[in-house]
Amino acid sequence: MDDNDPINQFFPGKEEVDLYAVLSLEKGATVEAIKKSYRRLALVYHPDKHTSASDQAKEDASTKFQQIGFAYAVLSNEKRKARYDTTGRTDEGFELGAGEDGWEAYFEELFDRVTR
Amino acid sequence: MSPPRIHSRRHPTRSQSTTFLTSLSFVFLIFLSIVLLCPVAVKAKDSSLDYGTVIGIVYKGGRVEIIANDQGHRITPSWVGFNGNERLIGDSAKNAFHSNPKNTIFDVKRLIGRKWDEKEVQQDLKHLPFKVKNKGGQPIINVKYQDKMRDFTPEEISAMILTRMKETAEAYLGHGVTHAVVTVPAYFNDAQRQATKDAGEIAGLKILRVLNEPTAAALAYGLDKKGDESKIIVYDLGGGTFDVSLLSIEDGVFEVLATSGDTHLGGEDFDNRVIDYFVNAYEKRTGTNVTKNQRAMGKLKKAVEDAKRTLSTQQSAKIEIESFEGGNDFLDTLTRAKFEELNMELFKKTMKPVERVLKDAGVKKSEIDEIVLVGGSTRIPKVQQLLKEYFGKEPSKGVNPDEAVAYGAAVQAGILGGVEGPGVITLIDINSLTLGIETTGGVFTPIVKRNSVIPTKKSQIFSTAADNQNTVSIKVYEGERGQTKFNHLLGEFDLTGIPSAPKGVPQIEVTFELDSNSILTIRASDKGTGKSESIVISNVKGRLTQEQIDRMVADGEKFAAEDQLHKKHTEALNSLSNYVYSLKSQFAEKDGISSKLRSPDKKALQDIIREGNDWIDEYSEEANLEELEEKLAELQLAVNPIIGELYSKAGSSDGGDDTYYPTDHDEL
Repeated sequence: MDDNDPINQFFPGKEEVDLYAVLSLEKGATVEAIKKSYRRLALVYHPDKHTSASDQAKEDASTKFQQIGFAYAVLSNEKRKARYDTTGRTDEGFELGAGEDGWEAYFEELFDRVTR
Repeated sequence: MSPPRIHSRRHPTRSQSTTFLTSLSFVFLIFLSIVLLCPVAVKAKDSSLDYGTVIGIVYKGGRVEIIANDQGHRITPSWVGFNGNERLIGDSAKNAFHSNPKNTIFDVKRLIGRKWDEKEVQQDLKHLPFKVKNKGGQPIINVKYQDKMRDFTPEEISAMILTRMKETAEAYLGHGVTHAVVTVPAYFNDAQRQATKDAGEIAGLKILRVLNEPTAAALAYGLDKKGDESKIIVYDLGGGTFDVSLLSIEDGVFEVLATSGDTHLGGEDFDNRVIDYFVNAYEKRTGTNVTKNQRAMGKLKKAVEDAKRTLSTQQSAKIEIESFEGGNDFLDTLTRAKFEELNMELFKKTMKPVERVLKDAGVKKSEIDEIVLVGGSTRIPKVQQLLKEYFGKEPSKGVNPDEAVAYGAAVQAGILGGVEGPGVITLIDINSLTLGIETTGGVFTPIVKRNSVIPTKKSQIFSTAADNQNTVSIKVYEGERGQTKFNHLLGEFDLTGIPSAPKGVPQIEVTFELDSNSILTIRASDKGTGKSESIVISNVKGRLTQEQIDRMVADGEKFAAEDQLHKKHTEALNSLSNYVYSLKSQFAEKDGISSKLRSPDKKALQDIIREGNDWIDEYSEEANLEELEEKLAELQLAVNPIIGELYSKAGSSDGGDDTYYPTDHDEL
């Protein structure tokens, strides 16, 4: 897997990560099932639920919450999900890249100024 | 022979509240949720410029209660007044405003966490009657207190209000309160959040969470929603800020999908449009421009605010101001139609953030199940109508727009405190502003995008722009524009000691960590060499240091002690005066004490009364607490034998009581 793929930030040191499994799902689960599962797991792992736990338990829950959050971010977005399903890549793709966004914002500003 | 008049008990019986407190005594997990500076415009006498504070308490079992302050109001104005030696907080400060405008502080929400040279701060300064100065780039409030000019940071003023709220809750509960959830507009930036949190710390509270106001309101609204997923929009239009959040609620999970807003749009802007209109009309009619006349403008402002409120229920409102200017009265009428015409542009402006949250969340407006109204300005009929037209359904009026936020904050306090509630609830909140750094050419490179779930941690690798570059400057910004010059600079720092290498080779990892309060910590490390250097940024932009906070905590305690002393002094003076005056009046009564005393005693008592009276007139002003108490004791000592004899002579049932308090006597 590509070193720069954001998946490595959330699952450091792991070779293969199945984002469906992270959400306790089978590959090809429906959007509805993905959402339901994410919310069910968030209820368990959200850091707010572990405020009185030990530091280690807090840290573990926080990591887990980040992981399910990441899996959900990828799988709940149709384009990213399709990309992940076919290539295994989880980055946001060039259409959402920083440069592109920068230009879009730049033109938005220009538009604002011209039309004001 | 009738016994001396027996006064009724001065301390009201509080059997009801006592019972209540007893039942509470075994409840050990209680959190205070204080809603700091939540916008209000409820009661007719509250102005929309004013921000009030509402206290919500969550009990074990998840029950939430909004409590009233010592004046019986559920909303406490966020005002602090410095009146000679006395410090007034809340209603009393606001009531004393007209007599002491220079030393009465309000609207600190507009200053907290902001820098002196920000455009909004400079604009607001024009309207504030108290003195604000620039100290190291921060706005500092300068007031006269105890005959000295003193500086207070906005955090300290907020802390004074929070301390009073804490005391109110403690008095109500009968035990200490240590933890709180405070709320801020969702569109508050990092610095404003941090400053709000610091204010809590100065007040001696552990701030469990800095919660977004629309999110808190959604918690209050959706608490008893069961079953299928529903999508709601919280439309929060207050006195000075505007927030919109889109949430999904399902099985106790509150997921914030998108949030947007405007930190400078609210009821106050509506008032200003109307004020401008009347100022112009008045000038046309009389040829006089009143904008320079502060008193006249103040009167007009208040009258306009009242009229605005009237127009929420009526079609027209009369504006009558006696001796408005130059001996003339001001008489005019504001119709609802005119009010709407003047502000239509602003009302429509609020729909832009609504469209943006829908777009950001990828939700169609037809999918929205409910529109929840929060903030006093949502009482404006036109605002409700615009929302109704846009969504094709009536906005919900199910929550109290002024208290929903406090209620929700208390619910969240319960979640964080592990209080067992009626159901399992989790709140998944997001950040409202994109965070990133500046890269070559003034380009803003986002690292954590807006609407990311918090807490979160994101890293990105950057490199050098020139050969053998040993230092990189990292400038941190927040905002939505592509170029950093249009965004808000949060702070900057250098990462030094990068080994010489061709450009593009070193790998510098920048990590942004956003906690659950949307407060940011940044690390930067040079990964390329293996020996990583990292810097923790927690004190980037004139935030208060721990020492400053500690000093402010100590100051706060000192002021509280002085308040207490002042109160005791006033009480001691009152009991001394009461004692002397009531002796005097009883002595003067026709069939009173004097008729029953032997003449030497009568003479003695008369002398005592005269002496006490003279002493009060002459010395009570400068006497300290001990002297006042001493004087009372001295008088009592002299009076008691005389009165005591009267009783033994009368043989009444009161005879055994050798201490006689004319006014403080309990009923028998």
